[in-house]
Amino acid sequence: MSKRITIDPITRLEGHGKIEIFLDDDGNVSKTYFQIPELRGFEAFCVGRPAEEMPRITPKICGVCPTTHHICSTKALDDLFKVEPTPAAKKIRELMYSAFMLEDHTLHFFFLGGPDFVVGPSAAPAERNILGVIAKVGIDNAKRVIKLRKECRDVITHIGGRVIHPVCGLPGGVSKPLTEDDRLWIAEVAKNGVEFARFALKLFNDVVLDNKDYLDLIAGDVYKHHTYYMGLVDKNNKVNFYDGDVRVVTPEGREFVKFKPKEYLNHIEERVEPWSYMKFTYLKEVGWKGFIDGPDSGIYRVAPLARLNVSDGMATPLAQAEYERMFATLGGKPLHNTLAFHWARLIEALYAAERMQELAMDKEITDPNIRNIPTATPEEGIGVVEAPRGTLIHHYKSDKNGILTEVNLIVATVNNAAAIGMSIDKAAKKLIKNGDVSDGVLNMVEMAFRAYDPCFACATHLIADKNSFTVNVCNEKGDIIKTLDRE
Amino acid sequence: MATVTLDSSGLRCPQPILKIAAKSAELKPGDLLEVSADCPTFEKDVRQWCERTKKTLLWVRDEGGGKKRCQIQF
Repeated sequence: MSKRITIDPITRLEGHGKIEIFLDDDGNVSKTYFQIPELRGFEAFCVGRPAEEMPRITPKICGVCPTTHHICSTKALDDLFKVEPTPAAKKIRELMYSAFMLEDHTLHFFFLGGPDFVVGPSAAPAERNILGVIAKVGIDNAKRVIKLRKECRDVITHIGGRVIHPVCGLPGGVSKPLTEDDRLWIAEVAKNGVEFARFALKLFNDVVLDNKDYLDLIAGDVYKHHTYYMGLVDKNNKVNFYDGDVRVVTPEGREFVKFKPKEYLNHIEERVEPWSYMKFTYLKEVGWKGFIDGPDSGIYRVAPLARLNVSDGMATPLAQAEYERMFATLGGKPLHNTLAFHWARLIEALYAAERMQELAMDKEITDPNIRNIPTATPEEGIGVVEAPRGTLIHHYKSDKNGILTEVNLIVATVNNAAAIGMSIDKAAKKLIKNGDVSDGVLNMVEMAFRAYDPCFACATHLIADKNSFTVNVCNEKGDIIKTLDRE
Repeated sequence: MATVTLDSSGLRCPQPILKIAAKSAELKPGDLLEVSADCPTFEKDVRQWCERTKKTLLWVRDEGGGKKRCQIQF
């Protein structure tokens, strides 16, 4: 008799999600579903609001990555009001953003994804968490993690006005200049950040890469998909979080297309599935072929490993050396090993710290000229940044009074949604055999999504019992035979 | 020649200037736009906006209570 396994809620991610695994009569996996039972709705209820409110509204999408939404929204307003920020303003924004990327990547490795490696994929759930990590790495190293995150968040607070949901971004600039004392203080934080990121990479090396079982797990076939990759690159095709062109490479690593952010609709298409509130994106030129990988499927991936795959390198020296070491160790570019996202994430943390240091050493960043006044009538604006979890796009249209008439948000994780579904399905099929579904095996299925660091936090402030929702009952062919609504 | 008024009281930077920029699309050369606002940076912002868009700032008046009023000729 067939059996259904539900992992709900899945753990160590931002937001809510659940996994449904269906076993056949032999106890092997016939199908899995990765479902996001949350409804965001921001695209709908922001219509009719003044555009200039968006950098304050959209950070509320998420309590983990509000800085990303704030900066992306501010960039969309630059475009909407047709105003170029001053050089100092751009640097201040990127400085705050680099501090955010460093602390966010640190959060994922030590609190969310890392416990699977540092403590072990099959360790008891009570230990497979940040407390288990502390027990393994020692209290002094744990204090370093907490200190680093606090310092980065202090920088975000100082520049952004608030640590969660910053308010500093304005069309054409930022609201407050940096003083010389600020600059020197942030340079010191960045210096500590570089040392910390090197420590995190050494820990990854000692705990993960020196362990043959883990290395085999990363390099093996259970967590592997041949897909396209997408990410922002600078004019030298180096990784850039704040600005640049969007580059896509094929599963073989060739440049497929490189386009300006404002051209994204020519290349990215969204689709919906009846069993999830999350949209699924794919490359328009390749087309949607279902949840399959390979060069004929338009599914692409974003986030750390994707960014490193699409780029020609890192723009800072220490991160570049780690970039070369990773590809040399795991077999060259592009890497398709999903668990290598963890390694790539730590390399990006090092890049973020180095970039933060570069910006803090640049004396132009204290120039008091931090804002250009908008002079044009608003129409349409698109902002793109690289969020920790991938490419984030904000697209606004407004009337001549700046009142929004259309909003489209492609949140970073949406770009990975199809790949996450595939990864869970493949891991479940490879790991669950003859009905053996121990806790450790199910955690290894969860590791397939955790590597992407997905963020479904958009609706976590809602109380689940108060949500209205619909249940579709399907027959074996997937046809809906009954719909149940709860008010 | 028309005189158009715009009350931006209660709005904070950059909103008063964005409202002026949006309203300017409706105005013809010679029209007057009279704006009141209580944002602390309003006077500085409006001076900069007029300079960049080559509009004439006829006057700025302090009305007390943090409120300022200005008139711009298009």
